[in-house]
Amino acid sequence: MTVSKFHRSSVSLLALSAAVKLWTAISLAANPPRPLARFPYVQCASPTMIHIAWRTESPIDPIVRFGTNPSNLNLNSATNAIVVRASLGTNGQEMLPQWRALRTPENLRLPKLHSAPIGTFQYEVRLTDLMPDTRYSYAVFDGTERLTSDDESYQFTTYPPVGTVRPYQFWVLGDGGTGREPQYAVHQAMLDTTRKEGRPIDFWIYAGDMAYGTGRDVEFQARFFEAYDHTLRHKVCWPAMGNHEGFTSKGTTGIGPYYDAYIVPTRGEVGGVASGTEAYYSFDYGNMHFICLDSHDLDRKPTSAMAKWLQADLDKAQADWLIAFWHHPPYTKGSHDSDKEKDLTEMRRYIMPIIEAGGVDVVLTGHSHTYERSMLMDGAYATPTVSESVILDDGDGDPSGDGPYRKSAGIHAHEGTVQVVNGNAGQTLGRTGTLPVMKRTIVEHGSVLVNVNGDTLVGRMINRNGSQRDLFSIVKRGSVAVSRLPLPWQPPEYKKPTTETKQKAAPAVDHKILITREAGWEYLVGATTRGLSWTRLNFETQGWKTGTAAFGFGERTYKTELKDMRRKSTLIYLRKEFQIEQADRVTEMGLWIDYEDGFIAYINGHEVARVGVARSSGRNAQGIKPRDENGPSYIILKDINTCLKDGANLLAIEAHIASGESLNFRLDPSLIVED
Amino acid sequence: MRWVCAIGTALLSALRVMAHEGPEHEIEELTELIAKGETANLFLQRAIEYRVLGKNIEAAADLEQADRLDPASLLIQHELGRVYFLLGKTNEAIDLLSHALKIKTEQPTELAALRVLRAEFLGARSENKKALEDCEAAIHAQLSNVEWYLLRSALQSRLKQPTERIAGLEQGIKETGAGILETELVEAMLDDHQFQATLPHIERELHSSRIKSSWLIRRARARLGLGEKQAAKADLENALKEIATRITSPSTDANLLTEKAQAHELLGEKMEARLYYEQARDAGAEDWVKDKIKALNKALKADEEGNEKPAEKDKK
Repeated sequence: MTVSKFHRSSVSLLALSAAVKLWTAISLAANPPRPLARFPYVQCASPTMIHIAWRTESPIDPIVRFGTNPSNLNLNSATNAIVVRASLGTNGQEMLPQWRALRTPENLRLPKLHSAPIGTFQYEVRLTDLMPDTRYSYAVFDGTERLTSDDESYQFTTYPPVGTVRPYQFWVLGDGGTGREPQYAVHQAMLDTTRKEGRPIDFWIYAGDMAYGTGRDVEFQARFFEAYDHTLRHKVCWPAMGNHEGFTSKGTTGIGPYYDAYIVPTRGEVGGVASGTEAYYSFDYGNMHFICLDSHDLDRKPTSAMAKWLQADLDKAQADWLIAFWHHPPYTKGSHDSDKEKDLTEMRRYIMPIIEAGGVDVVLTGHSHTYERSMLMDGAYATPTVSESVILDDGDGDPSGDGPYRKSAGIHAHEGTVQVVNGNAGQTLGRTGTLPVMKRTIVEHGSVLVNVNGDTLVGRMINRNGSQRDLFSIVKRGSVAVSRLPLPWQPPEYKKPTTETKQKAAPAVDHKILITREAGWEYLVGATTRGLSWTRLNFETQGWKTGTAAFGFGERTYKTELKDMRRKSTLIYLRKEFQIEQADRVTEMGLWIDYEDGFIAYINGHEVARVGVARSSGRNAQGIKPRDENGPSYIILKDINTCLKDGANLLAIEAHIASGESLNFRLDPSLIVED
Repeated sequence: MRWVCAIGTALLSALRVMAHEGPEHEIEELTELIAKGETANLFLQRAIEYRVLGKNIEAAADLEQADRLDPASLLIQHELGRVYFLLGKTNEAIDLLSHALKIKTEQPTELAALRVLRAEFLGARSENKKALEDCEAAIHAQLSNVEWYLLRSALQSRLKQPTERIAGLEQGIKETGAGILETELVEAMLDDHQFQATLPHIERELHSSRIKSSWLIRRARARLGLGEKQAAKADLENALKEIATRITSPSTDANLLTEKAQAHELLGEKMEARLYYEQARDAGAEDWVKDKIKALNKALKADEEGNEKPAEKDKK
């Protein structure tokens, strides 16, 4: 079976697990048709400007046609407003002839894409002189050939003139980029909610960790661009870098897949003070001003360039609402603890005083895999965080409950900020305790919809099922006298459950099966094979048998019964070839495998998984642990990027029984790749 | 960039994509993985988690292990240098980076971040000239880093190189467009007594700013330089009034405390100035604040002695 990134899987894993049945409810994003390697998406917009970016597998003659009438795209992008980046490999690198042919002097002069598959070209087109607050349709062309379908989703609306007061809505999420089912459910819940309410979002904010596990280009493609494809086509996503993107991208240099993926203002093009870097920036939308910081890998101290820029930006900000966002929450007891972790305490100690003296109303963060929302608070910079005298209103902020939080009209220092931690858009949830400044702690997957209408802001947490789980409101009207509560309401203490059920890993939603269950394998039982040469493609399998999975003996029946193995052998070797078209486009590979008791898996001679076998391999294997549980598990294979190759590959498995006296043995593997 | 790739590979080796429950949990997982097989990348990852928890001694131990396993990794040397510095081992940090800078790479920009790190450490040891050389080399390799222009400006200020400082900031503004470099340029021009020349820029900023205190203080400096004492006094009083609406008591806002101290200092209120500079220093303000405190201590001591002398004369 051939892996093609552009060929969407039609194979379902339904037969493998009941849990996977949930996935049928999710409508998967289709991979882009060739030659598009990434669907067009909108970026960095203002009342008169927007950027459209996309990728192709080879160079094209890029043109964006656009217009206010979808059936008459009468305007063309300017040729001098296009930035082209390319991934062409390095000198001496092994590559297919078609990629080598692209390494022309002209192409090699282009800015580089970092870690993108070889042959990828990224086009970034800036459309300017647009009419504010106007809906445009667009299409991407290669010369005269239209690459995008005649689809209503290819449209955008320019931003309203700065200062315009009217209802707005934006979506906020963090830590979603896993490619797993909760990510899709959270996205779908936002789409369903906004559709039901008849009020689409105007733009969205991603508070980091949008491309697990290390922010590689292929992870951005599979877990961000394909997961949110339709929303990205017409609504700008304003990003903040998370620690997972920080593994491959650096704020200090502005280099890496994160910086390749996004276009953000560096010269104050969309309002605010020019930051001179893509690591932190600001933008205006209507009567709101947004500030994005890099909390991950830049100096957070007040003497840093980022803190100085923040101060300068706030000095200039004139909007009715000031909203800041970044990845690491200053206040949390979710899967992270802001009383213990330096990244978090520094954001609280050094950045929050500037934020609150500048009059910011709301701080949106991620990183901690839960939903936490504070009371109206100010001045909580100490460690540990306490609530005494830092809470200005200990109500719930709900107009139908304790009433909205009140602030004076305009922007005023130290009148209170609401902290929203929403790192719950996909990653495994967690909680370590309760922070006394929090009004709500909800350990559910979800995201936040924020509505701003004149002097009123409303934030709602919508969980993965589309249920509203929290609502708070801030009203900025008249003049409000600030008072600090010496003994505010405190949330109940969190008691950690005595027994915790460990969540099982699951394959990515958008996946493909490379080796199916019931596939035929070569196997060897009752003998041993020396070294690891048997794990490589060119190994001579003389004396090996062929059989169909599953293999085993004992209480169940198996396609390949190995009754003779009982009490005679505790070890079986299996080999199976599979095909990969372009190895550098593989995001993740895993085994969906039922086994008893342990196994070691290899791809092309490299060990990629070891479960239930402590040390060594083959007949020298030690510490084989009896497996207690039944049923299949998903095991992510490690280091695949270094061992996979284009064309034929070999998966080899050695399965071990814990004891020669065991009554049961089973091995039922399938190989899955994230599509 | 090689070091960027190195980090990517680092995490791929473990692929702990689905488990991320805080640094303690990460450390537990990494410890298990290290027990199964030591790699430089695993030690590096665990060191990063230790550093998040402020456990710099453990972080240094892991980075030393990582360095032993992969002595060519610039990333590991960079991280180890930082941790040594945090542990007060400045000499070791500088030696390590000096060694790392000899590693051959295809791209000179790879070394730029290391050079700036060494510049910071040299600057902390008051070896400003050497630090400036490193900083210049780094900027030459990568023209787009705002922070590096600021560091160069600070070093040139210490070395009393006003012309080079101003030219360097103008280059930074051209390359990056960063607003804070424009502010730093005004500071450099004020330090160079170019009072009249700064006024148009200051007026523009005052006109467009919601919060004006920092620009009022800069205008006061210019006006004082031009001999307009009353106008400067009015600016400083207005700045203090605005700061009072934004500062909490006690305050940990280093920037606001510095502004407050500056305003008092320019008003000739040395005691207040010293008090707020001290608070700013404790909140993490820039190093020049320490020099200000020293100077104010000296001035206040001289004032005291000056007051005592006439009294002694009276006695006689």
